[in-house]
Amino acid sequence: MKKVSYIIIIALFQIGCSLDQLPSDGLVNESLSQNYEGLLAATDGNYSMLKDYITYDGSLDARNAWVRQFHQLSEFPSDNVMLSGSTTDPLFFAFTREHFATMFNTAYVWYISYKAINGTNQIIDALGEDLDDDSRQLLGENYFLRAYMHLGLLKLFALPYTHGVDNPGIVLKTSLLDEPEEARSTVGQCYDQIESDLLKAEELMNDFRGAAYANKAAAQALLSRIYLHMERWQDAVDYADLAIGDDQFELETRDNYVNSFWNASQSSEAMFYVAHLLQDDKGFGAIGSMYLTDQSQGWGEIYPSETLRNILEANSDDVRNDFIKPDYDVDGVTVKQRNGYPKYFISKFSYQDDVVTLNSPQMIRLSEVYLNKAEALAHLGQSDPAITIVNTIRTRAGLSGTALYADASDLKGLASVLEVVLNERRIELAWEGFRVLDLIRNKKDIDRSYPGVHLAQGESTQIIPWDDARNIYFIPANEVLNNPKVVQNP
Amino acid sequence: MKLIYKLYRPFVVALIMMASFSHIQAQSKITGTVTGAQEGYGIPGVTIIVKGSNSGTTTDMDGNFSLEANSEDVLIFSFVGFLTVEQTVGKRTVINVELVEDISELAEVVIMGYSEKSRRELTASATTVSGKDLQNVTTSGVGSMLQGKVAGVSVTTASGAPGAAAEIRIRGVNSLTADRDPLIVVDGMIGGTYQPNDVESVTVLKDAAATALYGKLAAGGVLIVTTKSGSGEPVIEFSSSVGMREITTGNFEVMNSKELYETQKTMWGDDLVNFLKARPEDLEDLDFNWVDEAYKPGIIQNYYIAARGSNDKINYSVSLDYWDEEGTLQKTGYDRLSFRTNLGFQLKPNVHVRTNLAIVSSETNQDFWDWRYDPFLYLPWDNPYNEDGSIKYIDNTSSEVWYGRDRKNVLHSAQYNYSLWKTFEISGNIFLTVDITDWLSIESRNKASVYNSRGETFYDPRTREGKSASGSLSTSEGYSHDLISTFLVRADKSFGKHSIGGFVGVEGSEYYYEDLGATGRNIPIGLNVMSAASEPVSSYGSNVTGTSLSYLSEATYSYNNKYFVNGVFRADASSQFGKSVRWGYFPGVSVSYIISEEDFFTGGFISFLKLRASYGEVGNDNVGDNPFPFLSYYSLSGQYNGSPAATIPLLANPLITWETSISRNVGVDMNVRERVDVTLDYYNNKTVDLLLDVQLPFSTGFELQTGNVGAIRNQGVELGVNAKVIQKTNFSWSSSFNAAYNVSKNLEFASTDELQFGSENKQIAKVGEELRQWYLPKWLGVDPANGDPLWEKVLRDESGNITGREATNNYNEAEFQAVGSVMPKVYGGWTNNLNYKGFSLSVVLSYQAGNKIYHRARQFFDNDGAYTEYNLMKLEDDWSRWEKPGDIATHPLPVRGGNKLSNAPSSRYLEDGSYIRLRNVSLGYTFSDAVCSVIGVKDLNISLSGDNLYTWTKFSGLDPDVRISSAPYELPGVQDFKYPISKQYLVKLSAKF
Repeated sequence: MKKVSYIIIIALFQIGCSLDQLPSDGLVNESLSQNYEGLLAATDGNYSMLKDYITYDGSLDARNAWVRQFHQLSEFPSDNVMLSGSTTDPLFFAFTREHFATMFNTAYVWYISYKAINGTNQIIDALGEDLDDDSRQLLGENYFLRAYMHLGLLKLFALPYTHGVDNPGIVLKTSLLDEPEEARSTVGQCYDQIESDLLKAEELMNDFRGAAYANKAAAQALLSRIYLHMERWQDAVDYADLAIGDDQFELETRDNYVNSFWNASQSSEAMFYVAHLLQDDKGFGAIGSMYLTDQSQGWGEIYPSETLRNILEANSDDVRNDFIKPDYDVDGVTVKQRNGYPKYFISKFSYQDDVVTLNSPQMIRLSEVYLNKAEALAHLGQSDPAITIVNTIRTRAGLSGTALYADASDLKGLASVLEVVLNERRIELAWEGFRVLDLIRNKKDIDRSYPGVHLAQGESTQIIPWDDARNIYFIPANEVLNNPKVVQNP
Repeated sequence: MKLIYKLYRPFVVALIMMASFSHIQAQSKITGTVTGAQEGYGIPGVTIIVKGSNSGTTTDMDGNFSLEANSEDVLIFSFVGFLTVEQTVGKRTVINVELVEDISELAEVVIMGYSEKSRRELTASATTVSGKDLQNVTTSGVGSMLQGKVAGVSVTTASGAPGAAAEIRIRGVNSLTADRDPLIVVDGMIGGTYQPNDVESVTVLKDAAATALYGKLAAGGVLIVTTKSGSGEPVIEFSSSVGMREITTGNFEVMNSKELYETQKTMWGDDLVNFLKARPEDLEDLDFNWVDEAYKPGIIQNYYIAARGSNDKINYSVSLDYWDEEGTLQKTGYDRLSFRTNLGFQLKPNVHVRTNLAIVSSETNQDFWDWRYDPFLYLPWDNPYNEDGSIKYIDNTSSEVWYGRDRKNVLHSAQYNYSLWKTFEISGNIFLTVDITDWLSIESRNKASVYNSRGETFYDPRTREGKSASGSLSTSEGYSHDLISTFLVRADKSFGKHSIGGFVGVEGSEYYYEDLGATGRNIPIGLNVMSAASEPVSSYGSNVTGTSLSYLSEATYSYNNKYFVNGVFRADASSQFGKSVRWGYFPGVSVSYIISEEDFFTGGFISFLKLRASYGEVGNDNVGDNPFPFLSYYSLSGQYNGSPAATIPLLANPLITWETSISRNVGVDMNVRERVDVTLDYYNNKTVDLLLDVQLPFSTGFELQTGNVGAIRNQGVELGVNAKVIQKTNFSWSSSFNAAYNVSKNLEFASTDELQFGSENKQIAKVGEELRQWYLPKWLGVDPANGDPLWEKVLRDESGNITGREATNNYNEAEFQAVGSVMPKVYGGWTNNLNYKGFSLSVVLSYQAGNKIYHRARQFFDNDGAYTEYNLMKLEDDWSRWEKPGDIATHPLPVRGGNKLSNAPSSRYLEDGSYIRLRNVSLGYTFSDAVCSVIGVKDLNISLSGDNLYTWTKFSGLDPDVRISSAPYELPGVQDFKYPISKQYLVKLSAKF
């Protein structure tokens, strides 16, 4: 009988085993939002979505990081770049403007933007009003991020504010209680929501955790950007002044200028950048990889447009030339070619800690704020102050004498002060995703009359009208097919 | 009896009322020998029972027996595979019996996992394939050996990589996104490891009347694998197979230099000047075949040695197996060393212990994704070798002329980089069976297995991939253990014509997995260990524990060997569901009726006829990669700027619970003139509370949510025919054919009438229609006027009603539509065996039909000029290229940079997936006994075999054999660019001593 008992005991030992298991690297939502450390990790988690590969459509694709896809979709349709050959990566369609609704780069940006927005809503919904200063800062950062992500979506998927506030904007998600299927709000409603989030963020944020995180001045800077979009010129000036007045930041020096892009943490003017560490090196999937080849890293297939290169080369003192690295043949003089196009690399998004493809891209920096103010002033007819700001930026770049604008009558062939400012924005903010919107919101055409695969066989000019339907992307097919309330872009 | 009495006094006391002791009168001792009619020598292990009593014995090693019996007693002699014989004792004291083999195979024992049944008494739908019938195909796993062998079992080869397992699906796919592999039960225990040479038989349990006993694990059906055990005289078995393999790429062929040159010329149109600048004329003189260089014939070797035997106390089987295969793709390979012992001990007349131990260690050299793909994409104008014959290094910074897009040379990288996967597994079972009385026994079954894996990915500093990091090494270590313990109480008893039996049991298991990984960089040339990596990059580690608890039972009843009823029941708890919805209950019941046993049955040419019917339910808790779908939580596996970053990995569904498959089956088993066995089954399987990943609008921040959404149905017919066509002394021909026809239907989905899958190439599930259909813009061919691509634009009025359809050359105007079936409707195989004297020839065909494959690789290889820096595939025979107005063509005008998105996903790349494959041909010769005795062996056989020799198909890709289940990285039915399968030729020598 003893033996039988043993057997039964052996067989039944598992009954004592618990069926309750928890993930080894997980914490349940409640326990996270109820303490500061949890809140901090959840907030940092929202930033991390901007740089991480996140599983999309079942796979971790080495191209699917939000910063990279967002960057390419913003910049590649502009007149700042040219592509030297075809590629299977849908960045090709961003460049050629042959869009379709199942491009995975637009789908990924759409998806991750809303994932981050959902992350911010988790925190915004969970926190009440009665908070200590540390928690208020974090709450403010989440309001900031929510506004920033919505604004990014607007840029890619909705017409500019100046084309009509009643045009369809994007889907606004401001609470976890929102229905899974929400319609697109109008552009006007979207900007109102973003403004209100940013004002709240500005009020809540009083700590400074470094420019890798949202902060009060960054919120003010972003407010100056949206007021520019909304043509609220005086507000744009006022908020630019607030941001410029923040003593955390000052314009970068000429000497450290290039390095400040390579190593954003060493920049005095970076107001918000997406921090990447060595383990975040994206290799061939990095932003810089399409622009630069070095030490066998990087595709190096996208070069500055000939028109932008000519503008820069006109002033060889301009430090902003230093981003352009011609790929010389062994003779050191001839520039190598790819498919018949000269290879000029762009190094603005490389070389952090000397790693070729590592970079922490800046999303908001002080120079933009100066130029936001300059553009608003130009629109307000305050030409001289606008020119002064442009000269500040040019002087910092190492220009002097006749390379500067003497006054509002010395426009060096440009048609207006506004053109001067837009030209300076093009140079200073080149490859940072501003150009297309700067042109079309000011109802100016995009002139891509320079060599590149965007020109069809035998073509030498390409002028894209400011109201061209393909200045924005199709809403991703997933959204349209699964959310009948969303109307596709024409 | 005395011994039992001592041991189990309390039991016996309790049972004394029930037991019958009828043999109190004087008995005489009977002895004798049982021999096989054909073999001529004694058969050990034959059961001899005094009819109508509990007493009996079994024969010893030489077939001898002795027992006490009365003159009026009838002795029943029975043994697996032989016809049962009854003998009245009469005045005899010596009874010698010859047993005749039961050729009807009805006596064959079908091992059902927790119990065993003869084929005659089987009530559920199950098919057994013997190891011998499997092993004509030579592969590292049993899965692909099953291809074409069993009706209703679909085996697909997702990858031709060395060591890659085939994918098995039984009776279609029973879930839209949560379907799972069949459960493998090895020697009575769930899970475990085995290798093909040790396999005695594989039984496929197809309906839930049989699989319900495995409850939550059986949603994909069950494969019962039984490994060989020893019986009789000691035998040493040896076999060796050596062979060669080469890739087969089906109808897929890339262009040579001249073909590509001429095609590209048309892409430049009138711009000949620039064409010649980009593609100088002398390029046509260069013609490098990358595929031939990257894919080389590989050697396959397999050696197996085993010793088996038994005496009355012990049976043993010990084997050692070494498998070594080279991939056809450079540097890939797989080798495996397996050791197994199966031991059985009759400790006491009523106590039996069985123990199995398997140790397997394997090493796989995997390919990197681009090694497989690039040789097809690279241009014939680029040469991988320097002039001195060394392999050329090239990257984006090299100044050499290179026409291919990516300026890579995989041949260079393959010299140094590697991706290695090593495993080591020990798995052991102990079964203890104690017969308490002759009708009651208890059984404890226990399994423990420990599994270790190690992955290593190395980029050498000399290669393009490792250069900038100065070498990089990533390693991962995985450890898991798996404990299962089952306790069963079993009873079997006959009362005249009534037999009842069954068991009740409890089963608990625990699974634990942990992993640890790290990446480091900056490694000196020539070293490849983590200590030499001077810069750490990242590390990770996690663990998972899973537990389960189940109660199970089976009851059987039969009357007069004619009517059989079987019921099973299992209750399972799953730690993947929330507390309140954790338990699932899975019943099954089946009946069968042997009509041919009836007196009124005068079947004429039908010698055996059985009808079967069954009903059963099994559960599925396959919630995908994330084991906690019910739990809202933050995962802290990430970092931002060096601090912990918490993100929400999924949209939790607290109410998520079991998916249940309800299966109904009716079948007929028939034997015609003792020559032809026919099995016909009809099944109707309904899956309810479907566990489904439902796509959400991305604006929710989530791609999908797993929930219990809706119901689907699979119904179909399976036919299996085994015929002994010719049976002569010197010549025989047997043929076995099977076919399965399956249709699926979506019955309902909660709150929607369609669900979508995929992102670029999409699939749709619509209520009332088949499980999955391709959902793509519809391709309308080429505009004869200008060579433009055309798609179908659906015209709709304001309320969305279709008002018309027209062709458009604007891809964005084309509407997504359901354009073809994803799943095959018919599949099966046909095997023929011919024997003439010592020669044997077997031919195995497998086939499928009725599905459309999305040939995704064509987006790249058949792109009408979108990618001029990649090679193109040759047009198939019935394809044509538009050249001039008026041409009716299948392919648009090629334009450099692409012709109006002509290669974007559309039904253009959907192709008929039907095929017939000559899976295996083997020719063997068995040496005669005379020759064997001269050499001093018992048995000697030599055979030549060829696998995947030919495929009849219209599919233009590498292989129409595509997976039908959805995997994390691909939709079912997509052929992208798998590791190509091989043709292989082997010589096998096997001998017994």
